Amino acid sequence: MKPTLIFVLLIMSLGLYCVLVKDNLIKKALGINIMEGAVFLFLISYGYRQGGSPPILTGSETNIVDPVPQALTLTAIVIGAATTALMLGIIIKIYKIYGTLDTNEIRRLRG
Amino acid sequence: MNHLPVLLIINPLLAAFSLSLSIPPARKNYKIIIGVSAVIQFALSMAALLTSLQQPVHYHVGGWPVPLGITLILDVSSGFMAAFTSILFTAAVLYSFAYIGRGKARYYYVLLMILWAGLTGMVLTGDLFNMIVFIEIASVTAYSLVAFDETSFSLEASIKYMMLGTVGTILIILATGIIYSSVGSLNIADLYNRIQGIPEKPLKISIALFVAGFGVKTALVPMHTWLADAHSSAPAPISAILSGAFVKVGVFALFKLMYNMYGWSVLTSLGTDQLLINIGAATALIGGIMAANQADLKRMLAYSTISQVGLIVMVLSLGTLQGLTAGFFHMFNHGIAKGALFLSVGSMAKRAKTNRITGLSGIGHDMPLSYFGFTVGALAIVGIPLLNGFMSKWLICSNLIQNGHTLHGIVLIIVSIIGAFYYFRVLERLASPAGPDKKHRETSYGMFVPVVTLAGLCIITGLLPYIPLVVIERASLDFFSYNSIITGIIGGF
Repeated sequence: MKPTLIFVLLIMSLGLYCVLVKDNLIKKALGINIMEGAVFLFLISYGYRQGGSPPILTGSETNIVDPVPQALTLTAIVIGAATTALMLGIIIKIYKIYGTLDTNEIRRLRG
Repeated sequence: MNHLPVLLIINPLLAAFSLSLSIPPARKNYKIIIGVSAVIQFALSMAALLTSLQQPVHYHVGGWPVPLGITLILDVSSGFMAAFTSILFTAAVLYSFAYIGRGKARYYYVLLMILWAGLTGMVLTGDLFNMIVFIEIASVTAYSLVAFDETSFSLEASIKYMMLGTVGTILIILATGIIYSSVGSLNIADLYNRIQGIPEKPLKISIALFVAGFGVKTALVPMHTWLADAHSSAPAPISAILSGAFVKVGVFALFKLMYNMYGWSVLTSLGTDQLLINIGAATALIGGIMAANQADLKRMLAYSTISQVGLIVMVLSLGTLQGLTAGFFHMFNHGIAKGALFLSVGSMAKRAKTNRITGLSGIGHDMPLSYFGFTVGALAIVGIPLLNGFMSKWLICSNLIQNGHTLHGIVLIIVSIIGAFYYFRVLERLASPAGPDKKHRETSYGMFVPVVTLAGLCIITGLLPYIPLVVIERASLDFFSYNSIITGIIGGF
């Protein structure tokens, strides 16, 4: 197993731990962002080639970095930023109504 | 080149963005813009269905050739899903004109049109990463539409939905990364041709991640907890769309990957079909049992959606052509019936100012048209003969038993009996003679016309099931032989 993969799994489980265990909504949002970071790292590390040149083709390159994962990561970063913005916006509204960020107290929906 | 597939995505986006411009004509006349755009989109999707029945369209976005660029594929299955989504959306837009108060209404329609574009894109796309982008477009708008009322319930439901949905998306992106790193392509048809040779480990991990990720989006059983909150707290037309269309499109996308990217033989050799059919059975049972003891009517309908989606997942994981037909037919039937149910409950709840079943007792006398829509939808979902749900449940049950899954067939019958129990309880309660002191008026035209139209569709489909079945059989055939059709169009890779 490549060392980056182990690193990705570590960060991923750290983020998942944050989402599952922490009670504070902001911390949960941070955990989701940490998980996203792990996925970005996975995509980028796959496309990386040791000593590779940037994917701007002039015809003479032999060892180039794979550009597709970079494009995917950029798109995923944009998606993540939009989701985070919306999430924080809703957390602010929740704080205004409930007066707390603790998920144990934000429990009016039941059944 | 036929530009229909891309127009289907551009048109709602154009309406949404022209509406969000802060120029006075757009601000004042938003209903006209949305109405015209919805009618155009409805016509476009019907035209797309008719076009696909003649010949499938394979559209290269930006003119890039196949494995490199993004492709949109309009075959009968995606055309059928787009048309079915459009029926629900058109009804919901018409309903929203009367339902949504003035205040922030413009932003509501912006989000609604983006959701429409996202769902249409999800069924049309032939590229794995593009599918993720459309899933996120649809999901992010769905999160914010659930929170649209900004009450404590809807905000809480929205944040729950958002947390789980975002984790689901991350799992799907990770699975896509694994697929790309082991195969080196993102085009679904191209992946199908090259996925056979890859080692078993990335294959297993990616399938598990896809099932978990899409399971969150479509509320399969261990990941179903958000759905009841989100669908019951959203505004009524949004509940109808999320229950009627979004969940079905999610199931469609999951099985598109399973059938057309991995190939069903790969899945059978890994045992994923057994996993999916059991997840479906668990979803159906747990959704049904949870629905039976709800005091809130919209919550009951939401749990009923979970249980019906379980039935669809069960029959789609048989991997047969007839199973696909039954599954698509039930998607259509459940979609229009659940649309009628949520919209009629929205009308009643708006008049009675409560969602609780006890608070709505006797309202059937005051609002006969809404009650008619509710009754037809409820009976269709229970599966009373002469209504559409009966035909598709019959097909699902016979397919399950013919393929040796008698136990799962029995699950369907148990779920239907439980469904009859909780729907009849509500029907009886809504029609109870204990008339309340205050009389409720029937809703305005804008609200009961969509309800009655959807209910009428249920009755027509139930009496003449062969008309939609002709299209649905073609759709499942196209879905089943997706890769050979695409290879036929582009002549191999």
